[in-house]
Amino acid sequence: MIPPAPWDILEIDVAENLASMPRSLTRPALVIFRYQGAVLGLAHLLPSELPMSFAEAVAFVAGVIGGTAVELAHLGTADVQRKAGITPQPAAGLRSDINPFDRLDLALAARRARPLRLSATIVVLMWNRPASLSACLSALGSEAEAGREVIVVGRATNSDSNSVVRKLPGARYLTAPTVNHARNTGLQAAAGDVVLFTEVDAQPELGWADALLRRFDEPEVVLAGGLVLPSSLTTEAQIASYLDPGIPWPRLLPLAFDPEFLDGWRRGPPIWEIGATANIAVRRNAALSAGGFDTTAGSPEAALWLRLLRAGGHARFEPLVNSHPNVTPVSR
Amino acid sequence: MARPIVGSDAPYALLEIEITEKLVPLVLGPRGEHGAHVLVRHRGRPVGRLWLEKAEHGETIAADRLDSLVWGVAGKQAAILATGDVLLKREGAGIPSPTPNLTITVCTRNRAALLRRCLASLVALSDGHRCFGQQIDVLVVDNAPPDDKTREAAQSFPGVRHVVEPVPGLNFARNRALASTDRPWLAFIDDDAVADRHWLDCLANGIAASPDAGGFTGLVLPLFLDTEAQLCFERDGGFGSSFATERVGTERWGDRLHPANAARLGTGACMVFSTDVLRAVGGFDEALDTGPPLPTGGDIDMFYQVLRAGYRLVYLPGLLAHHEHRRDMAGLRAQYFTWGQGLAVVARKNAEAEPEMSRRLHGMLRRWFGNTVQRLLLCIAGRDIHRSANLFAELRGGVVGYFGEYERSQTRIAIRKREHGT
Repeated sequence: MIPPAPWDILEIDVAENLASMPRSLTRPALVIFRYQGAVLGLAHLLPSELPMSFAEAVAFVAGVIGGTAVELAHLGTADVQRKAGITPQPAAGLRSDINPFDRLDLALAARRARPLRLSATIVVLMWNRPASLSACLSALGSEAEAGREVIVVGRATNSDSNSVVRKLPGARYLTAPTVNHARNTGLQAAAGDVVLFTEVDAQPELGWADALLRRFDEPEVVLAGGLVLPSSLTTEAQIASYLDPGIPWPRLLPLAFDPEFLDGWRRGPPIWEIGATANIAVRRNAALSAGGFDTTAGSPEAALWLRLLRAGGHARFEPLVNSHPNVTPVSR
Repeated sequence: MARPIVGSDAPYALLEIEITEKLVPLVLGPRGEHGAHVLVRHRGRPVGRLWLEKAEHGETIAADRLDSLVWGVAGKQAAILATGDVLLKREGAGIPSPTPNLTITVCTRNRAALLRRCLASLVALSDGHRCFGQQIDVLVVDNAPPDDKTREAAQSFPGVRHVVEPVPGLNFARNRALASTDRPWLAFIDDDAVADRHWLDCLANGIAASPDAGGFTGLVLPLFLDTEAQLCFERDGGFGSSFATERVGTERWGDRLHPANAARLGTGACMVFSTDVLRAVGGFDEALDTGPPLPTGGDIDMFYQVLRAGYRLVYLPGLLAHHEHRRDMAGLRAQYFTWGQGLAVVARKNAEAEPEMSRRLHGMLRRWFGNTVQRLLLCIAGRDIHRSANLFAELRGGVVGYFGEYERSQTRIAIRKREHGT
């Protein structure tokens, strides 16, 4: 059974002791397990499944995170899993008593040590739910303080939005006739080397922009998508959106989408797997050279991603930090 | 879908690989086997299994290739156990658990040779665990014995207790075991199975972790794959082959049929219950597992009863028994028949006892029927005669079981009990 709304969302840091595992629940819960900020696993818990003994909690946590922890650890310095046909290497570490967390420390450190050479513009798409704007901009405060350009693109009719945007230093408010035009408006107005897209109902985590930007230290990378997690599951609409986000998930390993990824699909490549504008970054010049978002396409995002890869570009999926869409009962 | 069985594929060798050790090239079929069934362990605990066919891999599999195959089937579970070990160690836990206060029961009838093999494995477990606390109690329930051979076999193992249950029927024997123990945990293992060498360690850890569980079930893998029937059964899924620990209670996330589908949690060949819980639910239903014509259903009915009574069941893959499957196709076909029969009898019985559960129980039956018909059609299309016959037998058993078998069985056991003066 899928329990009815509301659900809770719990975050547990497995780097700390597991005493933070709840003893009881009043509602069904989505549990997000993290290690040094990286999401290692998601699980569902019913109130009737608690309490757990300590050993049961360990088995539960290990069952949720074990596969991802070891796969991440074994990616090592390669730090991406090739999407096109190469399976992970055998778990050589399992042959001995090497602590998978030690290797995981190294693997995460390698991802966070990539150089930050490019400038960035953050484009917030605000088509519905202007009421969420303050929370979104608040989440982006540290990016603005770091000197990154922030552009909010919305409807001309959202007259108070301009004043809300002005409260964030360095932020601008632009208008566009449709949501598809809004993406291009943001792309064309951006000054940064890389344009990071998010949406007004999302709350990017601290360090979100850095994690995506670091993926562009390889010159062939033109596109990098990120993880999207729910921040609230209190309504049936939020739960439905979480259970069927339209993209395969949860994907917790960094992925590489090389141009070869486009080959061999009978019904066309699942290009949407790279990500969507709730949490994605694109190299500005490459996107403009490819003609930007095609406002006549059924999915302007997927159409641009496809053109970028066909032109020889590479894409990455980087789930190191995420963006929480705060989905409301209104459809997205 | 499994490859059709044509001609002779058996025998298969039964091998084991420890994933934490360096792999060496594997030679297939040195004694004329057509392949191998490889159980993969992580520090002794089962994490996956691998089917290796000589026709596909040749006589020797290089270590690198083997490594890749082993990772494919067992990597995730090994990773989960390795992660759990690290977490336990970090938190200062992970010391060996004391031997549980346990009676292990073997219910048997007139199969002294099989019983001796089974008891030898249990006595070895007991000896191996002696330093961790009290000794386990091993009990043989001799069901309607025609002679003294079972008694002699039991008494040839010092310390093994022997009791007689005069009324024929496996659930009569199970209830005799329940009446004959004063220990808080009661395990059952089939006489045609042997307990894995880590069985007791796994159960000790399981009980230490989940002392409030109503019961534990485990993995059952083949003891031999010598005949086509044994190979056919195991290739088709056998007694189930999940290597993931599972802990379920009254509800299960995403499963609208639970606990009507409790049969997926295990089998009576290897199961352990809290004796308090068994007594609280009234013991085993004597009208099930009565021997022919209803030699089935007692185990899955108890899984359902325990869950419905609000207790948890824990599936532990390390609670592993190695079972000697039916050697001939006729016997295997009869087993498929009884599977369908047991599923339908238990569902019908419980739906009538608890009308509020009828929707789930009938939903489970509809899903089982649909899946079995689909598999049958695929087997017919693939001209797989043996599997088609087995699946047809399973469906036939379901129909026979659903329409009045439980009531007929109640009538039969009432007569049987009168005959034995109970």
